[in-house]
Amino acid sequence: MKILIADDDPVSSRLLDRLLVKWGYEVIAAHDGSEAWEVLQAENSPRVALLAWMMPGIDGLEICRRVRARSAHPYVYILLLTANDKVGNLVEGLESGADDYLTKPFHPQELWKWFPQELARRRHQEAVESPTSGK
Amino acid sequence: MKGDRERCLEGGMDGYVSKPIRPDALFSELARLGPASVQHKTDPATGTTTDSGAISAFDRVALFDRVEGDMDLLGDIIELFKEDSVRQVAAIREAIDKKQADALRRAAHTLKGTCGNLGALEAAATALELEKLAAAGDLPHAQESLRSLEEQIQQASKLLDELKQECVR
Repeated sequence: MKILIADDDPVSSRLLDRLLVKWGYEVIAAHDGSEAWEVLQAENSPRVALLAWMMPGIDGLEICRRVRARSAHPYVYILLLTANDKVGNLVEGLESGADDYLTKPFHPQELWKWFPQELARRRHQEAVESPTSGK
Repeated sequence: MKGDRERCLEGGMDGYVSKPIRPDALFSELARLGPASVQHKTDPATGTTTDSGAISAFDRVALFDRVEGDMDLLGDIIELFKEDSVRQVAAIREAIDKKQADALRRAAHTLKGTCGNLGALEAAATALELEKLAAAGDLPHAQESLRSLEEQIQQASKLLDELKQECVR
């Protein structure tokens, strides 16, 4: 499965890339928001996106809003990566349409925990909601 | 694997950790070897534990956890940190010089994340302070914070270099 990582912090980006590749995912890395938005608009774009909240070009929140404003199929799971720890900010993030968020710096297990179960749950949910495409 | 350990130590090694490396095993081995960069000392008089010197600046345990014991990855991100923190500090300085509060806020924010990931806690805290000063438009004080930040980053880079030499082949 392809996963988009969009983060202008090269350290975060490298950490995520390495972990996800180790876990068997195919990673596409974008270095700013504009690049990320391009990737998400391409054919066969990743269905999972890890977006830095704040980054040059288009920020993570705005990308969420744009993704949610277009057709819901295929659904893109969005995880916001944030160094903001104020509750108000997080609410804003979820309101933009993100599925969840991780506060940086995070422990690999936090990401790991999110991944297999959360994706399996959502895939299942999607199949139930649209039985024809879920065959 | 006691045989291996003994053979390594006889061969002149200072310590031994079997692969796959578990961070706690590596730590106890490093701790045994003496003055680590991060060390908690117990004051015999009071029995309280204090951080030694400036070094609460740096959280090794979290850093090892974050790379899941992957020493190549550790080496990679240390190099990335050294390169990128220089670039980001330059961006911060430029933003202060040009009195661009928004650019300063963004640059400080990114650097805070970078430092946090490397366990450079003190530098991360100063970057946060800069981010707040930028949000408040307080550029004169930002100048002072930048000076501390530069020192802290230099120190973190030095400690990370030492760590890399210890842990990465």
